[in-house]
Amino acid sequence: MDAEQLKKIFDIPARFIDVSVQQVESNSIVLKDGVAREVSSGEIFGVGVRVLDKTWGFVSSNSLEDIHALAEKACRIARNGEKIEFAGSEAVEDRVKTIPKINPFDADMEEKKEILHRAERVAQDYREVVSTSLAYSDSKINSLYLNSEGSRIEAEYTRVTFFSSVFAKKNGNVQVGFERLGSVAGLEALQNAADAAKAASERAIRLLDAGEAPSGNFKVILDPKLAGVFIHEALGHAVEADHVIQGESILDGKLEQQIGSELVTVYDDAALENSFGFYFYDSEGTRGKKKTLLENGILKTYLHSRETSAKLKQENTGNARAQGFGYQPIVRMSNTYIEPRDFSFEEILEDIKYGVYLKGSKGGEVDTVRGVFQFSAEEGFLIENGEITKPIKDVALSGKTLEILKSIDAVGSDFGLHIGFCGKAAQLVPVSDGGATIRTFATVGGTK
Amino acid sequence: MDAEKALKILTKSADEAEIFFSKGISNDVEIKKGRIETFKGSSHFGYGVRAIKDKKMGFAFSNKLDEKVLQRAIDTAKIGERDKFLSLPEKQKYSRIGIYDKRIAELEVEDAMEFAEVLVSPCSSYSVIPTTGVISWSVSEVGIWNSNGVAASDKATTCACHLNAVAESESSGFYYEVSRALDLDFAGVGREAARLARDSLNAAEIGVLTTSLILKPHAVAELLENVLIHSFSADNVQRRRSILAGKVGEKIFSDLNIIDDGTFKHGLSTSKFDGEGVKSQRTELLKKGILKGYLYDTYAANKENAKSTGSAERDSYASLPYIDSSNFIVSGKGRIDEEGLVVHGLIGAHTSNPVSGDFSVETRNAFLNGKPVKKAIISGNIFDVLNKIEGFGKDYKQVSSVRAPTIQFKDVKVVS
Repeated sequence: MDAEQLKKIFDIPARFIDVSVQQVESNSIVLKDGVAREVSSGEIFGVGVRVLDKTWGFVSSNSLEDIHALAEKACRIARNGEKIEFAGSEAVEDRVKTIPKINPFDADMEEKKEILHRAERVAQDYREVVSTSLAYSDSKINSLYLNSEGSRIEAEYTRVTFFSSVFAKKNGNVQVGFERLGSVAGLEALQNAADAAKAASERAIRLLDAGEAPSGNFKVILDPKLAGVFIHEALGHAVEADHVIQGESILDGKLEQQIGSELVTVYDDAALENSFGFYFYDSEGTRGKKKTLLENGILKTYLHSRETSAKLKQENTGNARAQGFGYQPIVRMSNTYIEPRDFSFEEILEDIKYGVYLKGSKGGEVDTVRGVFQFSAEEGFLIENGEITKPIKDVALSGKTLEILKSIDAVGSDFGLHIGFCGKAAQLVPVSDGGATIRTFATVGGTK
Repeated sequence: MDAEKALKILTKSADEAEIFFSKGISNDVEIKKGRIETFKGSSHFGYGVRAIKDKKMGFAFSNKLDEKVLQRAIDTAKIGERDKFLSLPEKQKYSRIGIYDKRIAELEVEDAMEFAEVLVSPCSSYSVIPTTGVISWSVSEVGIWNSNGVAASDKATTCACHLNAVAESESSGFYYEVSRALDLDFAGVGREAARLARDSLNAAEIGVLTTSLILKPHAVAELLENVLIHSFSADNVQRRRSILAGKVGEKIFSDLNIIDDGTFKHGLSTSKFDGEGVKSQRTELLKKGILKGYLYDTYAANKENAKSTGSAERDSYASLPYIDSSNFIVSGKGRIDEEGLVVHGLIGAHTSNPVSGDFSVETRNAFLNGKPVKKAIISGNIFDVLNKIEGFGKDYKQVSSVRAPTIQFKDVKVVS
């Protein structure tokens, strides 16, 4: 990439300027009911410029031609207002690259299509299955980061994802099962695509016979996938320092306090190799690393960008992420998970008289001001007298973050990470979350 | 290279070809803690190219219309698998549609900064803090050309604002409006967010109950978008993914009317043509509770020898079209008294089950007979709930594709 013509941007008088140039190449194949109906391939070039004088200006374009004029306009506006605090940094020069074992950009498109066909044969091999959609996608992002402090970071990331949705039908009842895989890696990360598709089919079929869920306050067991969503939604968003600064977090002023059960230790780890939320550097040139959010229930840190760390005079955790060149970096999570303990599943289950066991997640949302969250499980089971009994469906869980964290009275020895795209301020970034099976007490909203 | 030349090159090896083009400028002025903190501006453009050869389809995208992207489209068509229903639309005649407001196109950042001041101004008199807010405006242009003679282009503008206000670090109020024209009531949006935040103070738990549910227009839109529109897609019907499959002519809801109208004046989803260049139209989906039909793109229409309803939606030049509603306009009979649980917004509506229609969602700014409610999950099945409509308000609003008034339902399950 030609950096010379971008250097002029640093002549604009401002306190801080950074530039992000990206060239993204991607491919996708969608198999609908067994037919590769949609095959896409393309590339997008773009550049984003962030200008900080008193306040922020952020501009982006698909062309280098108009970016200078846009940046000047942004700076004109950024000269007004109240001065925003910002943490400076040493210049970083680096060149980093993820190394996929089986590089999808060297592989034939037919080979990628075959991954889907193999999975499809497994997924549709059930009498109840009426429709399947399977999707493969890969991307290679080449980025160049430059800033007015003299940093220059070149990075290349290769990422693959696999998505399956399976619809099953019986007696007029239609249910769907989803499963996805993905990693900052190559095709080797999709080796279990057929197993994932099979799991989606089996879940859809189980849901056909699942009963309605009860409503009320119960003992609940969350599998690692749902526990991960809980920790992401309820704790993770509340420790994002921009929420704290805006007066939108219940965890304001709670650092070093016991906010959860002693059994709960939570990490956010951007440096976890081959994970979906992995990065070498965040979107403002800070190295990604592993942070302890909760240590035995004690809140240890918020997640920071350069701006929030300056405002709160705390160490920058390198969590400023942007969806792409067209987006301004904001405080985000990476890979967030609960550290396993030593409870076996039987121990977690045995003393529950009546409760629900919830698995998987259809997503969730959180109101960090009130500390209230809501999320939906993909499927559930009733627990009666220490035993799993009937399957249940369409069950949502809600509660108050602090109450639920304190009520966790068992953390399993198992471990699982699941991928997702976290949405905040209209930006989606790849993350993963998970950890161990947990037991707590929450409000269950069923349809019964 | 222009579209005409690109189509000539493509049709040397493809049977049918299409060039889609979009470009736009969008701007945001963001407010944090009552102060203008960020200006954002972006300019974007790109091309999406479809090629069909021997009934196999390929798609490529790029910021440049050059040989490389055309070759990618041809190459991907070789990977695609044969489906005899794949085709591109025929030449169309279009009507004029007004979705462009010159005042938005000419808006300067300084004007938006003034609007931002107006947006947050009501907060002080309600003793609430405007935590985050945005004034945004955009101008866009799309063009589409295909080898069957489709050639069309159009321009559109949008202006939006939202405000989140917090009262005594305890309760928040959120409100937003979107328009094609520069006619937003910024002070009104600010006042509504401030009022909701203040009125939500001292909220109480309400336990488990079954009550009349009054969904305000924003909440109606959030719910219907996530649980109902899916079922009207002909692609989902044909693939047996819709609960409405095989029910045309049947009375499925008591007295509800739904019209999908891509030509609705100033509608947020109004357009001259859809993502494949098919003329936008008005399609009756539900009349007095009777299912009249589904939404089609060209592919789904080919499958049943039907006509496209102009329902191909395109997220960007880098993605293929898919079936979605345009302005999804909901109406019906009956009055409302707003006695019960009044809900202004929903949290987590996207976690609903679009296939079965089952939902279980948290409420935002909910009031039981005028008193604020701490936390309440409302749950049910949309096909069941839509049979329990008591009445409709007159306060029609559109903040997304759904255009609806306040709707009151009877006997909905609420858990606090």
